[in-house]
Amino acid sequence: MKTRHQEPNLLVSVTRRSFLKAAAAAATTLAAPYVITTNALGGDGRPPASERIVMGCIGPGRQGSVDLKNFMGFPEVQVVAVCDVRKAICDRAKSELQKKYGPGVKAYGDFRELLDRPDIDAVHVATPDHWHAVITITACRKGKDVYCQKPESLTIREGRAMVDAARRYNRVVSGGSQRVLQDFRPLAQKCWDGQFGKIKEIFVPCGGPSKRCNLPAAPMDEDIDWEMWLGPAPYAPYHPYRCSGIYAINGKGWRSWSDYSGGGMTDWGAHRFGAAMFFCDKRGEGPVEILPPENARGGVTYVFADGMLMHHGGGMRVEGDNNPVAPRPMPVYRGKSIYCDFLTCVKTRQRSFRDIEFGHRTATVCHLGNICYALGRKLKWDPVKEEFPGDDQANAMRDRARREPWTI
Amino acid sequence: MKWNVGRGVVWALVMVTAIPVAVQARPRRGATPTPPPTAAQPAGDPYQQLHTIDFGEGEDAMASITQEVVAAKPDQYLALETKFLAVLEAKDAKLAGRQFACRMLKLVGSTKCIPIIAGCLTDEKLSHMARTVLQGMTDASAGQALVDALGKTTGKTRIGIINTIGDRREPRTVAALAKFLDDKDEATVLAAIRAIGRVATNESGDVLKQAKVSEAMKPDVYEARLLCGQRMEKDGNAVGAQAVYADLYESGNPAWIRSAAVAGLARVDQRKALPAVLDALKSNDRLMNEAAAAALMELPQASVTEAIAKELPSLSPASKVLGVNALTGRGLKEGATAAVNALTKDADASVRQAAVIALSPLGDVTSVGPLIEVVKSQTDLSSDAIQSLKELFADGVGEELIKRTESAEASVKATLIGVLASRKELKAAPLVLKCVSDPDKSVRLAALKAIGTIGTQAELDSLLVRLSDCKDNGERDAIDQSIAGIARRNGDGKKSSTAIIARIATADAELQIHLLNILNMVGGKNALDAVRNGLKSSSLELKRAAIRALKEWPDDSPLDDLKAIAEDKSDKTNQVLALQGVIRLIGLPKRRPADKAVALYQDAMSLAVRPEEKRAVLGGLSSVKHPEALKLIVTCFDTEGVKNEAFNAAMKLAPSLADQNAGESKAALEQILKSSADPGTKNKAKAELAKINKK
Repeated sequence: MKTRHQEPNLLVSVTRRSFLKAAAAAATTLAAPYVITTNALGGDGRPPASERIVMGCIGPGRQGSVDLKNFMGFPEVQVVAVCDVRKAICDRAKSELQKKYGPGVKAYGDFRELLDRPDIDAVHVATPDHWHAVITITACRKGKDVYCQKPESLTIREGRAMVDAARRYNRVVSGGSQRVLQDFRPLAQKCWDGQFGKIKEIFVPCGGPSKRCNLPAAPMDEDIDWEMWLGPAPYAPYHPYRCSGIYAINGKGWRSWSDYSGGGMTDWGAHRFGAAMFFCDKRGEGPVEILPPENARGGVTYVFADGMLMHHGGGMRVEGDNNPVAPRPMPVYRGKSIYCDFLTCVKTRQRSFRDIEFGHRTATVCHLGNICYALGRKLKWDPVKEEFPGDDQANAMRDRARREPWTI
Repeated sequence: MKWNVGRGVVWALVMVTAIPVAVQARPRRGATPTPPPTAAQPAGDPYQQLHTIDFGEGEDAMASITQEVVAAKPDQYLALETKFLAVLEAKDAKLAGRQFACRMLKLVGSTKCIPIIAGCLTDEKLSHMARTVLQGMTDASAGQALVDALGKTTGKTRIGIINTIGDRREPRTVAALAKFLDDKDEATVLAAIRAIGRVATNESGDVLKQAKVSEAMKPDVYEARLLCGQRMEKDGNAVGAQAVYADLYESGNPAWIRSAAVAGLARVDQRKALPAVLDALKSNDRLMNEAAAAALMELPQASVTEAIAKELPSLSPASKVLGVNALTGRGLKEGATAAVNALTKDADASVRQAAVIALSPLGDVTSVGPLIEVVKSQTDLSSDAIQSLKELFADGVGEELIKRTESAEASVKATLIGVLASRKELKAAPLVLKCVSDPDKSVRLAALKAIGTIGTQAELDSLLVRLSDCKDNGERDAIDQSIAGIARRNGDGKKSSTAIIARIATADAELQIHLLNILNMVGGKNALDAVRNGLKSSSLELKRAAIRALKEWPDDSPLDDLKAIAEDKSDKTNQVLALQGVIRLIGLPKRRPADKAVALYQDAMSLAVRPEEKRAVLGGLSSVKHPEALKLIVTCFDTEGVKNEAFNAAMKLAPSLADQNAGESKAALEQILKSSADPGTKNKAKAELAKINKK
């Protein structure tokens, strides 16, 4: 059965975008040659090039390779470029892509070269978190739509800058949490159906904050561009446990360390706080207070303007006043998956399910929790201005300076 | 609240405290990780230790200091700050210690630290961390320190300082930044352009407008001005933003910047900008069309919806699609529905499809007819129209659909019955029940399927009657599913199962078997008791049907019943069926303690005679994270007919046990290396073994 996202006519009518590409081409100083594959001319039952979404993948490591396989499953997608600072990962991904798309697939070690290619419509960003904002914003400037893995940002200000860039350049920017709908759909449906009545409390399980990394210098036993891996993060010597992409948050990979990640709080929090924000439809909002744990066994609590409480901890559950309220149609993906949703929006120019504003607001909740854990005191938050009113110490933690020459 | 581990105050330290490099136990995915132990008290003055530490050293000292900083009251910050500044000033201090001092100064630093931090700005290794301290400081002297450092630095270090000045957004720094607009270094010029854009004052807008840069950098200036406009907008400087956008929208500018500017114009002056945005939608330039559509999504007034709807018929097909998508993005039905209904008959297929899809959120009762017309057309768009009918929620839509289904011809009627079921239109139940007897088979089957979703007890009773007369296997299966569906929705299913059980009493043998099969789909105590009664039947067929029903039971309630049958050697077929059920049910509950699951699988293994059942037991065991499960698997390494499954089960289980039971895991994998003749299996075992050894 033909799914909605595959309708070729719709695709023809709205997908061949060149927004900002003229500018991107004019500004290009790192333009790299590229080869149009024979595949690009159509055949093999695939849509002709004029109807395709040409993609590049930045960061095809662990989660990146999962995302990449998903995108490769769409007949209208043609992935022509891949980029990673680890040569082995980059070469492996290139080899996989060449099997499907032919020898024209190019590999890059510097994302800027990939983004300078005017033939690329959209990019998929699955780097460590400390790179998300810089790459996403640069991609928007270059006229690319972006699917960025969660957590979308490393700091609150970075997230807002990502939203601003998406709007400024009229780009489709989707966050990459597939679990909001996948893991909690029945619970979400009950919330949108009004079965809990007015939602009073939501309990959100996920890990805790990341830690400062104090690993020694280690012999470099892999082919990695260390300067580019660090990018905007503070200088630190190479150690395999500093930069491994291992999923576990156990001191053996970048998800454990605060220079590159918010830890379990942002890693799984991006899924689960995202789900919670979706349950109560506060996707474009934020709390007004963050309360520190009441005791050593507690978690932070977020207080929203309407009095709703969101707790870090407990099993995922929702409590309401049980006076049923009118059901509302629940927003869902356009198509069957978050990938399909993104690709459909690339064609229709609408906002995706995990639009970057939703992604940013979710990541902000996670970051606010981390700041509250770090300072150990009650915080007031203005979700409109995105600042802690009159609290210089907390405000300074909304962002970090980026190592030269990187900026957002 | 349930907590796996302590958090709270401990995490206040964790956030800025390094943990020892020693790796903690791997936490369950998504679970709360165990926080590190509180740092040991270091010997000597920890602040003094900061003077000598390198990366990877001085963990106890840093942890202790962090603890002190987090616990400190604001009036204690000055004393702490003095100690951190001493580290920065110490000639022998290494980068790691200095970085740590800067991290702490971000928390407790005051204006007192600025002169010393200013000195660090010119140190190319420490400049970044120094900027980290200054970036969030509100005092103007922090900004001045950055400006002063511009003249003392070059290259990347200076670019970093320019970036931070831009991030601080102090209006008085614009002049200092503007000096770099004619720098020889392109990267510096670019950084300055962007930083001025970020400051986003009227002055910075003017400086960028008048900037004399190379042709190659003009797009960067446009971008910076766009950013400037957006920041002004957010700062409430609508007049300034409007001026920037209007200037960028000038007809001589490139289309890409004009298209972005028109969206900005729309945001800052929605009423005035509407004609310009609509012109952009009507233009022949795709960039302008897309930008206009994006802008139209953002404009809140209801009159905008009407304005788009009015323009739609005269737009190009591509702009019609964008216009329809803009209406969808706006999410406001009023004023949009009639125009979108009309576009379902547009000459252009892409427009028709956009309209059909858009009617899901934008349609109302008047959209039902147009959508059904598209369904009737049986074109590529029919599936989209069906989907939109399923998702279209508005007053009267359900009633209208019921009315049109009743009068529809057979080919469309079956489809519409499916739509009614998908929408859970309970009011349609009488009509759908009537269609169960429709002369057209496709309608009958659609109705039989649908009634399970929207039917109630009354329809279930009717289906039970119909089941007696039905001889068509396809329809019988549909009836079974529908009866089960209704029963499952009827609370605990008690009332439904009572009706089914009552029917069993009067049914012939064939129907009894059929009804027992339905009961396993319903579940619940009543149903289980009835099936247990079936076990006592003198009819072998009926008894076997009861065993089959228990075998597929939705929970593990009949585990003991099946175990007893599996142990009874009087009927081999029954024994095998029951054992299959036992193995299936052991695997069902997610929270069964692992040791109990192993014991149950062990019993099942002892009853298994055929390799098929042994393989099934091994499959189940491979998911039980318990060393005894691995032991049991290993006992099958020499059993012909199942050893390959045993190897696979062990290779799946051993790695997950390795953290706690490395010895057993390694022994199992080593034994595979010895016992298996298959090179693929050996390689896999070798790889798993290597992973465990690496840990």
